Amino acid sequence: MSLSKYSIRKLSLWLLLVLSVIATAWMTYIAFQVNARYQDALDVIHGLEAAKSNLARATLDARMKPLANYDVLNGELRQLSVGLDKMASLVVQIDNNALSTEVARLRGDQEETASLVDSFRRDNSTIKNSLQYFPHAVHDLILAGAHEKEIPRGDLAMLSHAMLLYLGQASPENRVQLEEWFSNVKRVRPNLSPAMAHKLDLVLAHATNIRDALPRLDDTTAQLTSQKSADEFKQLHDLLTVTDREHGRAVNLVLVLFMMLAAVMTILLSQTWRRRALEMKLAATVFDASPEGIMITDAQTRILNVNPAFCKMRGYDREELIGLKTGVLKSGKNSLEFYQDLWDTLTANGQWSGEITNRRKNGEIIPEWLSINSILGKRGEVLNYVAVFTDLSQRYETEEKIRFLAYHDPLTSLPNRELLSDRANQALLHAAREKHMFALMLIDLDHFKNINDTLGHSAGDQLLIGVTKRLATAIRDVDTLSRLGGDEFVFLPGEIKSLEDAEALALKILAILAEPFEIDGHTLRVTASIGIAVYPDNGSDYETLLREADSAMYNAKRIGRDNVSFPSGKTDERMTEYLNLHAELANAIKNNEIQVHYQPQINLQNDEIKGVEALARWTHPQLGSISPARFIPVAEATGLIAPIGTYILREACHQARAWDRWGLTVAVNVSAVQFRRADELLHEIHGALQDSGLEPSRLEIELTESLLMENIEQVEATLVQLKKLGVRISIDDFGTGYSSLTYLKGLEIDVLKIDQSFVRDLEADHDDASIVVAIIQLAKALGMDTVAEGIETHGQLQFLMENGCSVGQGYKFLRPQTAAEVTTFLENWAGIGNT
Amino acid sequence: MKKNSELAKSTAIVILFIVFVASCGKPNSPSELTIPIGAVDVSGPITPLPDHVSVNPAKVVLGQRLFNDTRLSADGSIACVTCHDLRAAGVDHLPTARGIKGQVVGRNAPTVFNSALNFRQMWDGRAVSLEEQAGMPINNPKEMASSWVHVTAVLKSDPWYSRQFSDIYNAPANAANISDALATFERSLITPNAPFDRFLLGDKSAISSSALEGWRLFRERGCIACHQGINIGGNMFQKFGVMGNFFHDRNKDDKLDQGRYNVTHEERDRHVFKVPSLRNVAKTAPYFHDGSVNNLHEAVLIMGRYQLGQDLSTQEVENIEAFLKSLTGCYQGQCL
Repeated sequence: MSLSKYSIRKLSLWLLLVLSVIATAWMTYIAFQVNARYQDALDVIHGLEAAKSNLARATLDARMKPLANYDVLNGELRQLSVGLDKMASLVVQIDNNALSTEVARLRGDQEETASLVDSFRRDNSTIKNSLQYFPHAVHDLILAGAHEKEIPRGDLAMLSHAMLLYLGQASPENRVQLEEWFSNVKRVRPNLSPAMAHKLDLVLAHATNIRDALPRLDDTTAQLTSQKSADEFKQLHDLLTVTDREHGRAVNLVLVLFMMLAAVMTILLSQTWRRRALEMKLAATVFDASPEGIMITDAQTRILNVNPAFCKMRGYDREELIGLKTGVLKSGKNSLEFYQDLWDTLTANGQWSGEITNRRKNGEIIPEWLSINSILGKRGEVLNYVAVFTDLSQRYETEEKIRFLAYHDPLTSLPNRELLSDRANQALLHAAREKHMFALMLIDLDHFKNINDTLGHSAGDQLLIGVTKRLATAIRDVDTLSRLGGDEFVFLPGEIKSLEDAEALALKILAILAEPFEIDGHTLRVTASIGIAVYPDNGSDYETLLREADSAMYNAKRIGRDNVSFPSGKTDERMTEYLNLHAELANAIKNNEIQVHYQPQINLQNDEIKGVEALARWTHPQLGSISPARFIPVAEATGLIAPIGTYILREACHQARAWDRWGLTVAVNVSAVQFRRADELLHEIHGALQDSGLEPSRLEIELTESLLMENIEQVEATLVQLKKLGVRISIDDFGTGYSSLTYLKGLEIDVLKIDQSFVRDLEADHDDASIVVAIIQLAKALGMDTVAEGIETHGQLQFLMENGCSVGQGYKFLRPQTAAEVTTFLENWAGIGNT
Repeated sequence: MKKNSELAKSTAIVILFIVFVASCGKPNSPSELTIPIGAVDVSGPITPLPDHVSVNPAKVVLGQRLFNDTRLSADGSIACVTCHDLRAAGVDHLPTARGIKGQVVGRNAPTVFNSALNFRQMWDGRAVSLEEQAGMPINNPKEMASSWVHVTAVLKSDPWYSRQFSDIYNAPANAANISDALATFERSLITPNAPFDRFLLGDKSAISSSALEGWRLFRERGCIACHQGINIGGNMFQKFGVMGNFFHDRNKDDKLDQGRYNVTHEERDRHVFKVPSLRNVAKTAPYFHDGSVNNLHEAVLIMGRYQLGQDLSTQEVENIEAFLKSLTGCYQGQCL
């Protein structure tokens, strides 16, 4: 842990504060101690004063009482001595010069007092004896020397008299007189007997003792009991009181300083504590309110606390977890090595963070971002671990969403181009490995642009969603349906075994889409063109297959939309189908499987049935109905178109005769192959007219617009010859072939057939409607009739009638039917209003 | 509320701190000789001894061992007890004491019993306390001829002493604590229960009629002027020869006879001695500072003549002797 400069400064400030508080506390303590010493000193003075006074009383006691006991006097003297010793040591501690000097002086005085007491004891003890025995001694001498002449009785009497005076007042005069009689008495001693001399000596000894000791005793007694002696400690007392007062002020100052510092420290401490408490509260709030799960454990990974977010994240109650080891929360999804690495890192760096899989109480596995920190003690030992958990499941869901968006079309949620590429490549690998066939179908909605343009993009989007939903019903789990964008879909069937499978699937898709969609109150019909590319026939990589499918799809468009197409040419399978179909087709002609169906054409201007269009239908005994879009190209490619065409032409002409009563025209489609063999065609038409006896003007030869563009001069010549036969010329699918109007003007054309794609959308699409109107106008201007194909609704019919379209044809009136059924239709025709 | 409790907390810490600092030093009281006074009339000239004294028993044990330990002398030949034989009333019964190697000491060894009650120690009072006195014979070349250095070295080498000093004084042996131990032991040497003490306490049959007569004479003749107090003497100085020059009369006036003069060098202190205690006096012959008088009778006579200026009759002296004999007390239940 590194201390910041700031915290070092803060720490030293605290240290300084604490030290100053301690210092002032110490000073205060010392001050109080000194103060206590002043108190002690004053107590000692009182003791000394008492001792001094007691000493005086004891002195008087000893002086006055007949029998003295000096123990009391000595006791008081010792009290004085002990008191002064105490005072001396106190003064040393107080350290005051004036006091020390005074105590030293008092010590001198005390020694003097001790000396006085010594003198007093000595003199007091002897003087009593002498005073008592001096008269006895005088008396004894006089009595004992009653018979001795030399005894100076008179002088002895005078000595006694002088002694009495001296005892009354030990004045110098009385002393002189005492001395005089003392010498007088002493003068006779040599004349005395030794016994008498001895007695005289005793008298003189007592007298001398009295003479010398009495004034001394009086003096010492007076000194020991004087007022001066009692006042001895007054000065010390005064000194102490004064210095104590001065010191008291210093004490108060120090005390105030200490109180202030203590107060400052108290305030700072309380602030720090409050801040600490706030920080703790804040930390607790963060802990409780954190959206991250937080877990605190001890060094043994025993759980000490978890926050509410953690409990919520894991579905546990806090109480369930406290005290448990963290191991109980493991999911078992992380390897032992993972945990080993975690602990190694945590031990080495003090922290670890990473993704970990954990378990909710209900067993649910949750991905979490875990970040663990070790809390270390002073000696670097681990005290706690703090683990912060972030729930990653939500993030994962978001990531999933983003990934989904990156690989899916936002509108339909179908796999987009990227994912398609991925899936296709995988499927290709799989197919290559398993030697399977693999097909890629490109589905393009026909004329989708018209819907967008007429109904708006929202409707277009809804249609795309509808189409997707329809298609979804047809696909299996192993299939992939993808939207490349716009109206282009790619379908990857999971498993197909043959081209027939693929085609059947594609046809099924077309069939599914054939049902009308209800979008924004409009009923829309959708057809699609499907191009199918197959691995390994059409290519071995995705891009090639997609390209091939694309061209096949255009092929399908070209051959009439609502159609399925394979890439042309090089497909062996395709050839096989061609060959198969050829054979079947040949049989079909032989077995009369090819039938002619008719669809009535109504004159929109006079409400009458104008004619019929003849259409080829192949109903195979096993395969069922086979679309002309499929077998006509085969027929064209194999030359079977000629017998089929001839058959239809003849059949149609004969049938037209059968409907002579209604004077119907009959329109027969002529393929490009037939048209190119112009002579043969003309011959056949002529023959059919001859054989049936049909009026040539009742026969309409339908040519596709694109056919007209192939070889203009050839076409012109053929058309001229056809006109010579007297038949009418009709241009099928007009509007889709980009034919030049100038060119059209020069040709002998009787009828323009408006392509059903325009008719279908004319209610929704203004452009289509405009085109339809333009075609009608153009046809009128050129003196041609117009036939609108694929009329399904009343609205379409209404529009066409209002805009002067000559003839109409479509499911609105009747779908292509057998001749018998059409006859029934003709017989029951009651006008457009009743369709 | 919270704020208040924090303030209280910090204030409490400061107060505790002050209390801690203030409690950092308290003096402990020394053991002192205490004499319970009780019902005894302290105002009388003589007061009886108490039954016992309170002193630190551990120090007494240590002091007694030291008192008996000959290793305190330079050659290990004598101990305190050599001259202050507790079985012989605390004296050696010699006129003057003998030091190591038979050296003659100038003065008579006073009894160690009741010495704690003397206001000074030594005949001339030159030791103010028992503690001060204790070191004097040890360091005196004529007596134990030892030194504190020698004594402390001896005691430090002895495990028992080392432990005792360590236990009692929390320090190794030194001049101060050795003196203290010896003085403490000596304070325990009290001889209560003397017949006269019993008499003072109300037992009128405790002393003989002769002793009673002696007690009367003791007071009336004036002996009591100096021999008073609890120790019957020992609480004052007095000149030997108030009523006559004793030293001149006996034709012997040596330096050691100058008494307190040797301490103060003041003329008034010539021949001045501490008035000796008369307790157990019958058991502590010979008498006076130089042990020059062998019997009590003669000592009483000399005292009467030179201190009181009176010639006492034989009968009077005998009665006073009887009184003095009633002053013999007992130590640890054993009468001297």
